[in-house]
Amino acid sequence: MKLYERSNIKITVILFLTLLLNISIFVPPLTLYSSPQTYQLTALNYIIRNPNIVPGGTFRDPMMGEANTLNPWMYSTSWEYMVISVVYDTLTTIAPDGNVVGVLAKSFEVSKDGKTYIFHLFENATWHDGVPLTAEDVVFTYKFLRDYGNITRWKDYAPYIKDAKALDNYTVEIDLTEPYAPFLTMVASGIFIVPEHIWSNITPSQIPTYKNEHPIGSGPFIFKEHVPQQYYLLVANTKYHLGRPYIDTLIYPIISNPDAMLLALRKGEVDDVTWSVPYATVPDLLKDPNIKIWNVTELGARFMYFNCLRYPMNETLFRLAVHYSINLTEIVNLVYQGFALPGSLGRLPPILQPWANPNIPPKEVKYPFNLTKAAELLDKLGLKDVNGDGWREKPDGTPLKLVIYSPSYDPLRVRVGEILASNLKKIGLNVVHQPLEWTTLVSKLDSGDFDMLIIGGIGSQDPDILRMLFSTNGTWNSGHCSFPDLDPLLYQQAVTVDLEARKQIVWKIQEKIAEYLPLLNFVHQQFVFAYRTDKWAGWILYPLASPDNWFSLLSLYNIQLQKTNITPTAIVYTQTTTTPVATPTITPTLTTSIAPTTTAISTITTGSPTYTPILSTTTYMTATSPAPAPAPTWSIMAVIAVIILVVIIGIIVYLVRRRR
Amino acid sequence: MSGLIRFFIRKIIARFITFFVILTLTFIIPRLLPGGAFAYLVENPNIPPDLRQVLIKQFGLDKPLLDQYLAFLKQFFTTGNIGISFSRLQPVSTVIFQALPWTITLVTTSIIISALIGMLLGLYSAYRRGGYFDTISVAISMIIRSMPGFWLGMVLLIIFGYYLGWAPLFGVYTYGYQYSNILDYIGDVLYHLRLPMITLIILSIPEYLILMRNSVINILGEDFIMVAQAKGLTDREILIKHVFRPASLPILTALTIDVGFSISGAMLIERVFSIPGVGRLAYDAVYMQDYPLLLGVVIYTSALTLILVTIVEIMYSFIDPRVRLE
Repeated sequence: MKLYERSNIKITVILFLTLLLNISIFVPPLTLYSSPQTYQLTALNYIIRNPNIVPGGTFRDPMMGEANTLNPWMYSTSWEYMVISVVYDTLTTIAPDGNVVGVLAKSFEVSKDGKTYIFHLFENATWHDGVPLTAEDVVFTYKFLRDYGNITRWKDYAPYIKDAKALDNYTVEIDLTEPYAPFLTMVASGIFIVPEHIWSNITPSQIPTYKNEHPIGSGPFIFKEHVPQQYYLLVANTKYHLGRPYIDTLIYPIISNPDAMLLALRKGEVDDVTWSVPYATVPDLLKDPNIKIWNVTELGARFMYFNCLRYPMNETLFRLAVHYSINLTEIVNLVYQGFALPGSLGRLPPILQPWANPNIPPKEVKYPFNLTKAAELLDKLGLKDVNGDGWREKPDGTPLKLVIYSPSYDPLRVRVGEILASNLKKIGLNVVHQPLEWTTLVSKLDSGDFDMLIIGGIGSQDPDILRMLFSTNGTWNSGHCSFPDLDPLLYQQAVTVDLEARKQIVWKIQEKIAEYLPLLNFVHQQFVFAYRTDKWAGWILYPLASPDNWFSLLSLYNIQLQKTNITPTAIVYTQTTTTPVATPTITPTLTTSIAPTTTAISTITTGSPTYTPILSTTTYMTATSPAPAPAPTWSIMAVIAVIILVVIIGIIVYLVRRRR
Repeated sequence: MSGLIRFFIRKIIARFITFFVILTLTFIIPRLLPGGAFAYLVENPNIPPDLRQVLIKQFGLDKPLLDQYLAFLKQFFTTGNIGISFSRLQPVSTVIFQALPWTITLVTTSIIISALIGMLLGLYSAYRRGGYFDTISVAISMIIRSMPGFWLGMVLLIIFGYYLGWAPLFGVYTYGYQYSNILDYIGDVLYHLRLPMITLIILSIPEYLILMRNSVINILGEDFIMVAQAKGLTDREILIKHVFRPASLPILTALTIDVGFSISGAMLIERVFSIPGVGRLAYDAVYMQDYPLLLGVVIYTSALTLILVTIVEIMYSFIDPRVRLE
């Protein structure tokens, strides 16, 4: 009985804290954000900690491929991240509600000029080999990043680090060369702290090929065993400074066949799946009461580049006409079967709070699908059919022929390209849609040899991605669209440390993007992850991470081992902000069936992302191949197959016997 | 006897020359590709220049071609290694030797079992030719021969692994389980491997069945069969003593060819059943553009094929001594 009250108190506390945060985001001059800004929250506020939970059990979290390196400086795949992220700790992490919270840091503060960060560490953190973790290790890691970072995956962040000093055993000061607003979300929450007593023996030339086969970290799980192509075995770190995980053994079996992974989930041989389930199988999956699904929305978008170095794509009016000639509601419902949010005009997905500007109307409200309007805009541009062949010509009378490229491996984006091309043809534009093989597509993109090109991905938890996408020299500005009044804002947000001020700039940037339309964002696709609820409870679910995220792995407990009722069995963060215009027909039914069995704390402050396994920016190549039509059930197909087989054999036997 | 030894030596030398040619080709072909096989490594814009220099030095890509070739041969014949896998960051031989046992187990056992079953079925089929068993087995053989192997594997996995629960869905043993003794372990491995093995066996039975059937039908028309019948031997004695041995010769010939196909066929099966074998390694290597690993897989699987072919040829020479006399 007592425990019941305790956990209820905990929920109340969490509820209160999240509410407080919720307010604090909108009322900046609260104690949490005085200058210098001090951050007091830690990951403990977001995980389930209950002394009555009996730890134990083996959690099986499948991977599809081998993790080739466990070197936290060199990893590149999500499978590698799965192992590294639970063996090593970062200073901070991004909480399910979007706040930056401490992991190794108990609290941390930013100086007013944004150049100095001070981290106060937990005093009881130790490395897996028993050596205590002190400020010296953090200093070593950040100096390592500064000195050798340019040959690692963190090369973009190395130039920002000026110095790192230990103020005392458990206080670290990190000085930056210039203010860098994404420091907390990208660097402090990205760089894994490594032990000085092990990594100081590694020479710089060894780093790229150092495999780190037996990683020693400070994270919640201790690396135990790896059998190539078969599995990774980790055990709970019982001395973890945030409290031990309730999972005793964490196994990552490698299942190379995605269909077998799904069958294993249904049979209960694994506890969740770590790749996006094909949409067509979802209704069938949900027939099992013990299987739930969780939709994860991408941070980027499925979108189309306009080549601004070519006419007429460099005309804002032309890009506007293209926006008028596609129906995003239809794309979401018909092509993506409801598993997507319509593409936002400001590029950032609406769930990326507080950065996504809620004042920008959805595309279907601001520029609704209207072919007549699109045709008028083209007329206004001077693109008219002068020679009477049915296609519009350029104002000087030369023929205009445009090509849309799309990635051939993704049938969904190919369909989007087809729909757009056929709509543009209806208004007299000679547009050809051509799906290309991936490497050809990328080389077209890199060389700038395209008119319009459909691709996907390129998202980040930090709005600094806008600078990479839209500034004149941005890494991802492959359409080379340039807007003189946008560039200063894009650079200003990157150096503005004050959260509220930065948010205002980011919102303004999005307003401008919604006018200039350098990209056509079709959808923010959702990836569907499935997990079992009959053996493990304590899932922490939020819109930007799969169910097996870091917070879940610390909170999950085995139901069968518990002698008393433990609550909550899940904590769900959903976003309560901008709702998409056309709520897809399927999604509501799915969301209700997801609803976890118990106390769901669904207060949302700022639905910001976490768990982007691949660095800051990423082009998704996830294979999502939903079948267009729901297939008949397996048993009917089997019966038909057997009947056909029997008939064929019968005919053969009959013919052969008759001839004699 | 000296003839036999000379025969063996001749065979082994011939195989060694073949192997040497394979080694040379695997060295040359990727270097003839436009941009070079290591374009991924050298021209990848995501790799910073400092790191690129380090990697080029480590993989020896900055030396002249002949030096690279000699170093390659020297390394292979002294250590059995041909370089460092780009993706695994380990010597290629280490990576392959971890995977090779599973492929060898799978391929050799399934070849032996399917050859035995196929030969017996083919013998019976020919003996009762034109009968129901014959027509049905030939028809089924045709259907199986036209099935893609991975599809059959997937169907068996769904039926026996998921619906009936007679076999596990992935892996080669229960991961994370502590075995009390070696017999437990072997039993568990057999339990995990039986479905992939059954798939491979089903896939290769039809070939042996049809070959054996034709060969037996030919032999049944020979004069010595009539002699045996005249002696008053039963059909069973004739089939086992006088037909089986001569009729199995073409099967052995087919076996030598089939070894190579079985290894490549096992690659897809390994992926379907998540078996940590060489096939999956090759698949990953292609996916990760890891040329050293891919070449290593080619070299070691061709070495395996050559060894198995030599063994089969030696068996052949015992069954049919005429081949030794050439």
